[in-house]
Amino acid sequence: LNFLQFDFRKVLGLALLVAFPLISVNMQKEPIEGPSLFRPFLFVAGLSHAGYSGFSQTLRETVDLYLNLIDIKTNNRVLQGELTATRTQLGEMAELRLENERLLKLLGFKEKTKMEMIAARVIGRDLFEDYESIMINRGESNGVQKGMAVITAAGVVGYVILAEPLNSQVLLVTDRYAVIDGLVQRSRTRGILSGLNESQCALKYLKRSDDVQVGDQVVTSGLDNIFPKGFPVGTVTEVVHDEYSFEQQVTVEPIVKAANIEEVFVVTNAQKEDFEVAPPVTGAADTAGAADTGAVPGGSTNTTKAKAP
Amino acid sequence: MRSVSIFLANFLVHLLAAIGLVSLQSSLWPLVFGKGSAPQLWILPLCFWILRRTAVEALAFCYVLFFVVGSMTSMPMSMIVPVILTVTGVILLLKDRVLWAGVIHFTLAACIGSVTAPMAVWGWSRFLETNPVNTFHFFAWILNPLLTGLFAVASYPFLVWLDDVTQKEAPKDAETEML
Repeated sequence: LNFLQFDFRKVLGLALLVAFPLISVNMQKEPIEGPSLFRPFLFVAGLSHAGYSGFSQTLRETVDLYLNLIDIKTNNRVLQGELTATRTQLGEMAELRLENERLLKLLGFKEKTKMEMIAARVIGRDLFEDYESIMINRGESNGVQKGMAVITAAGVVGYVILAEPLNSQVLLVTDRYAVIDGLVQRSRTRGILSGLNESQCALKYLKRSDDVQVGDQVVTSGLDNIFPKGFPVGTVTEVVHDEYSFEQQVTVEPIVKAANIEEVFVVTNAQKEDFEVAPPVTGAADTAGAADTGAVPGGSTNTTKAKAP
Repeated sequence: MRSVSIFLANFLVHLLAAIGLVSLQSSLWPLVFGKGSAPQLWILPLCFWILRRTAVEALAFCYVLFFVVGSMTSMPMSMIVPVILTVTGVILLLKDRVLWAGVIHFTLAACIGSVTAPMAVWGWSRFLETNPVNTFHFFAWILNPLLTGLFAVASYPFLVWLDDVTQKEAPKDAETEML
């Protein structure tokens, strides 16, 4: 009979434990809404989800960022390379454009003169600073000979002192050994132009009474038909009259700056060209190595004012 | 017979190297850096031969160098000869007293040569030229030896290598100082 003996308190407690949720579920007003008992759990779960979601998001973003960084680095490297290549190309283009402009001016000059000339490129300079010479890439095989004049579109550069088969050495007008027959354009006073230093020449053997003023243009006399007549050499920068001397010391600054020359012309035959009567050569003044003095052969104000004797 | 052929081969190789160095100074340097101070590279092979050869061999090289240098300058031969001989004499004088082979001394000798050369040009020009040098390039006088020294450090292993290639023995006393 012990089998039938129940502890009713326990049975009642158990029944209540089972009935309570059933009653609770059946008593809810809106079946769609979750029971209010879930809310704390939902809240915590929500927090937990949000935390996990945030962590996941952060992790994903971090991974993405890392992956992007790798991509960015790769892209950056590629773009840097492209940028460098583009810059190099731009530099080359700018250099080519400048070279093209220079060569066009030289070509324009060559076409507008009757002189026979050979275009040459400067390939070397003198080993010693006190001596002024350049090497050009044209020699005897191209028709260059010793003594020929070397010019740019803007003025006199010098003359050939050594012609090898493939290249030549040019003595610049600023060298102390260089001598050129010169003429003061305004007064037609003749003298011998000789180099002083890298930036100056002297116009020698001028009498005290000769009319020379600072700012006068000195041109070639053209007597030897090596240089064309009236071709600019330089501008008088200083005139000194010594008290007890028969001569005057005249310093001339060459128009062509030897340091900047890149291309030159070797005059193989001057053809008695006279730039004082020839029509102006337009657009030739700003060539490489030329100071912008407006000393275009036949094109400057001084040139037009001067009259041939 | 073998020693003569070794000497000639070595001489020829160093001569070609000298032409290359002098051309670099005359052509590549101004084309890249423009007109201005430049290392006096013609002094390097000269110094090398002075320091690592007998005086007679060095003089032989010096005489050939006249023509190498003369082909790339408008300086008359009457100036080139005394200038290079002056530089040679100064380094030879110092070699007997101070200098010997080795890259440090080679660099020192090149710097001294680079200082001596423009002085020799200026001095000899007073005696030998009717229109002597009238300008002083003080900046170049300071900068040139520095540039020459830098190139000396760089070119010394190359010149030693030329000796190795042509089986030219290094001077005995120099071996301990070679770096």
